[in-house]
Amino acid sequence: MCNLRSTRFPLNQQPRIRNIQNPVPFVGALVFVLSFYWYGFPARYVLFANQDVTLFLTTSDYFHSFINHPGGLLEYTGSFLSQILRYRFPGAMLLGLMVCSAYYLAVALFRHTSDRTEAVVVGLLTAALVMAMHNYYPHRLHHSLGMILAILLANSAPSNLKGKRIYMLISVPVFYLVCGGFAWFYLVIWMIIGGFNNGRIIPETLLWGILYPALLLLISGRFLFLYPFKRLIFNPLPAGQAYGSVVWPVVFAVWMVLIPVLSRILNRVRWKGPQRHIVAPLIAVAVTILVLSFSYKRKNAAFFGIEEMAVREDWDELLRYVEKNPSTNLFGTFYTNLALCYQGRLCSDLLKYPQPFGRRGLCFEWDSKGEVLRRGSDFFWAIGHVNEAHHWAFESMVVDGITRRNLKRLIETELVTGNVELASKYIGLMNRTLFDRPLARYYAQFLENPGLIREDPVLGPRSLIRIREDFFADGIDLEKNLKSMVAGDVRTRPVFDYLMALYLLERRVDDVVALLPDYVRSIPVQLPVLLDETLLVYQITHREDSRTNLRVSQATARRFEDYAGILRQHRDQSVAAAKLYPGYGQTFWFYLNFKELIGY
Amino acid sequence: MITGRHIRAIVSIGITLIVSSSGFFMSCNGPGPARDAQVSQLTLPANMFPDYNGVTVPPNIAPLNFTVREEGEHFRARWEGRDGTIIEQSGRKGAFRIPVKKWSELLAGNRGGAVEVKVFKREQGQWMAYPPFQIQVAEEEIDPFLVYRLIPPGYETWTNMGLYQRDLTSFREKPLIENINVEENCVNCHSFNLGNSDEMLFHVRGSMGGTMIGKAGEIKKVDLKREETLSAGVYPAWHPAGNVIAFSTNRIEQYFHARPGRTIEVMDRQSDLILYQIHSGEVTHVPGTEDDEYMETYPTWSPDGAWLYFSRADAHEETPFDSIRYNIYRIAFDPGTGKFSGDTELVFDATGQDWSASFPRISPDGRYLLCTVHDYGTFPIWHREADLCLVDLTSGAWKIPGGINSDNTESFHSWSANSRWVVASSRRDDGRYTKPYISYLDNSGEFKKAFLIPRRNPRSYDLMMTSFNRPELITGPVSIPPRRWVRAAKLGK
Repeated sequence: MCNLRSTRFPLNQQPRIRNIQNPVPFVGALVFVLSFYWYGFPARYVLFANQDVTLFLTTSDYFHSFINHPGGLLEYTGSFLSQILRYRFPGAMLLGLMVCSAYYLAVALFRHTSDRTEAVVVGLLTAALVMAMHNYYPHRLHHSLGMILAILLANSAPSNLKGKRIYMLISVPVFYLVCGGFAWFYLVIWMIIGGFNNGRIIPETLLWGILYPALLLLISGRFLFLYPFKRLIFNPLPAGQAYGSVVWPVVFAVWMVLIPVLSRILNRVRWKGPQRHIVAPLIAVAVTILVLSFSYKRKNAAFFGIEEMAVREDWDELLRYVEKNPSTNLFGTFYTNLALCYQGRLCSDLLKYPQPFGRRGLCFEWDSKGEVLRRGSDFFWAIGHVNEAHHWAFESMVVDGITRRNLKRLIETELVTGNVELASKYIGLMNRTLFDRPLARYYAQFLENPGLIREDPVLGPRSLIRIREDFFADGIDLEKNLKSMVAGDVRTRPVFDYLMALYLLERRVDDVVALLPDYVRSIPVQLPVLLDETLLVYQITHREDSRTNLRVSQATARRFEDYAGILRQHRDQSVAAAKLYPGYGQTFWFYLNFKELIGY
Repeated sequence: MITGRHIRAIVSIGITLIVSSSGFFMSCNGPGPARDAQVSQLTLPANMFPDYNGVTVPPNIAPLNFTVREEGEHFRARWEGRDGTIIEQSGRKGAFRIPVKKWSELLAGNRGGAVEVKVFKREQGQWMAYPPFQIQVAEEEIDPFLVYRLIPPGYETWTNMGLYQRDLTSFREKPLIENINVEENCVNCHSFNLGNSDEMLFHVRGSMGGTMIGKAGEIKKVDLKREETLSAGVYPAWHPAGNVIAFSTNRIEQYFHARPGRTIEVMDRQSDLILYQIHSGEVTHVPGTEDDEYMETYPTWSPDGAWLYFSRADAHEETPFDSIRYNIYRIAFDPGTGKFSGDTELVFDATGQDWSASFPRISPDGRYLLCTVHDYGTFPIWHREADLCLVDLTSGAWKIPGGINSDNTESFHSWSANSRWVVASSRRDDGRYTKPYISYLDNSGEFKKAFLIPRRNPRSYDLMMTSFNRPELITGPVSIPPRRWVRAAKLGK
């Protein structure tokens, strides 16, 4: 473990530290508490976003899939630790420990060449940068772990020549194999710490810091690993297309490299007086607050909060949340509509929530990459299109690897379609996880007794769906899929509601009314209010050629009279909209008249 | 400083550890039921996977490790050859792993005979015996290597895949090329000239697209697309002379069924046949196939190179997908002049049975044609009803043989060099993940019960999330190392 006190000063200079109360542990504890609170509460979305990126399996195949390339063992460790993020407070604690480790390591790095108390400030800023990296949700645990290990290794290097040589000889290849591209970060810090003498580079530094690793890389690429050089160099650094372009890892890396330089500069600064102990910490706190506020994305927090509720299938809470925090994010809109569907409120409350994406907010178009693929299955599962739900979940598994989410969906779809052998295979896989064995046992009961499937509230209704006439699913055209379901005799509420919702969003009054007789026959409920409002519009615009015998409710008719009254009073559309919005903003009439004004 | 006392202590501790761990492992290897112990007989056979009950195996196959999928305190098995060779093994949690050397000796000593397998389980201290079963050992060996692609049986996407070579006499599996090495391009359609690993090819699709042809240790990367062809070459077939390769060119479409029971429909909307001259690089159409009157695909040569066989459908773009059906045809070829002659002959009338026939392949002795028959279309792996059909080319008689087929998909297949063994892609286990099954064809034209190629850990199939695609038997290992293929894919040679 690295020594937080300076190891590079003769003993007669050390008493200065002993006489001052060491604030490092106290501030370290504060850092832990702050980060624990941060990830447990405001930035809780980080836990959710990272908990199911990959499902850790206790199989040898899973292990071998990681260790066949440099950096794989680090990724494996990260995958293991990510499972802890499923649990709120243990997950927050894990992230807190990581942040805290970075703090202590930064202090130690500073103390290599300085014993000033500004070490605490340096540590605090480092902690803030780690938190900023994690606020960006594609940043994984293994990214921070790699950085922390690199700093630890650099900090621990011996200063005597023989020790240094042996240390570098062994640590560089081992660290490269374990942590991949983080080896370069380690080497840069090591060179900054111990590679200079009176401002001049020690020649042997170039050997260990540049030539030796270059040779290792060449050997790896030429003889050991048959991967492209780019991958050998960069994997698994937080960079590249998959990670996205964000400044925090770069800022962190540069900051860590500058710490030893900063400590040497500060050694030459004479700053006496109590202001020194106030100003620096104040700056640190101010910068920390700025870093956290710049890196914290409220939109991500909102979206992942919505998704977490959707994954838990807590539709009530989801809708309560979006009522107070309406989402204008594609995925947020998608889940809002999904919740409305499950609550049977899609055709009554659709327009209570922002719908800036039109039909794309109902169902995604097929996309073989990215965020869309891992969520698309939810729509098809909701409407009972089991084959397509399976399709999306399977493709997500192929592209993203096995996650809890796609594996669960695969099990569900195989059970519903009676593919017992496949369901058994996937359940067997789920049984090889750390925390999902109870879920595997739950599904295993259906293997032993398939009759139970019909009684299950989730699987049962879907097992009863029979598509009378087969058709080909369309990856782009939602309307075609829904119409084909109806034509194939799948006349369930979700199918009808989504088709109606599509017509409503596209203001296709005639299509709504044409479908109404089927809707009413198949779904024995009172006509949802938006459909009632649309029917009224139809009857007004088709007085001569109305093709429906359905009647608008009296309540809707009365409301329309009031609506029309207000509308007639104001010639200016914007003024009319402003007047109508409080009472009628959620009606189909308002949407029909003022869709463009709303901004959709 | 380390002294002699230290060394003695270390050695003592080491010996103690070795002895105690040997005892531990030995206890894993026994004890079984004593020969004179009361062993109750069970009436039902063991629920084992893979199912090796009653199979016929080549004498050079790797150990048939299997697992008993039942509850029990302890499991034990005994393999007894008619020559008196016995192997006894304990099964850790019901999984049996037979030592390779002992297994080889057992098979070598019982060639042409049988091995009896007895499986025992212990419950509540009482040993019980399952009904014994036989494994027949054929005289004829199987080609020692199998090459296949491992790929998730997905719909449209892929990430990791690769071509692998498996030594069937052991459990060794080596990559020939993995797509991670070639910028995640797709690698597919590996093909060998009559099982000769010195003449092989595969396609790379993506940023490094092309066809990699390996011949006599040299690699060439070629682009088979021409202006007049529908596509680059797709399904390949080496002429036995090794100087010409036939390919199909295809315009392929894919759709996804809504109704459970069917998953994917892959069909050609146009397809033709081309010939690629290896030395000159010339690409020509096989005469009569360049127009759109028919769709021709899946070329294959007779072993003497005198005939080109292929699937052909009388269909066009507007034909409903479930009405597209293929028959097997052939056309005469003169290897000396490199020219085709005569008319196209009907070899197997699948449409007469309301079937479609794909993947025609001729046995190396020229006697049989094996193809895949299914209700319609041209991509049988997604058709549960797909079966292998054996056509006797000497008499024209055909049948759907029992031993090699199942009530699930059988699709792509490959003959061994001695025409006695066939490897078939099968989805009989779960309907999704394709696995290679081997079946023996005896002298009377009967296929014996197929068996799944064994793996060191018999449970590993349960956890595999990839399919074995296009299993091809080859007579020797591929000598070109992966590094050279990768280099050639990047640089063209």
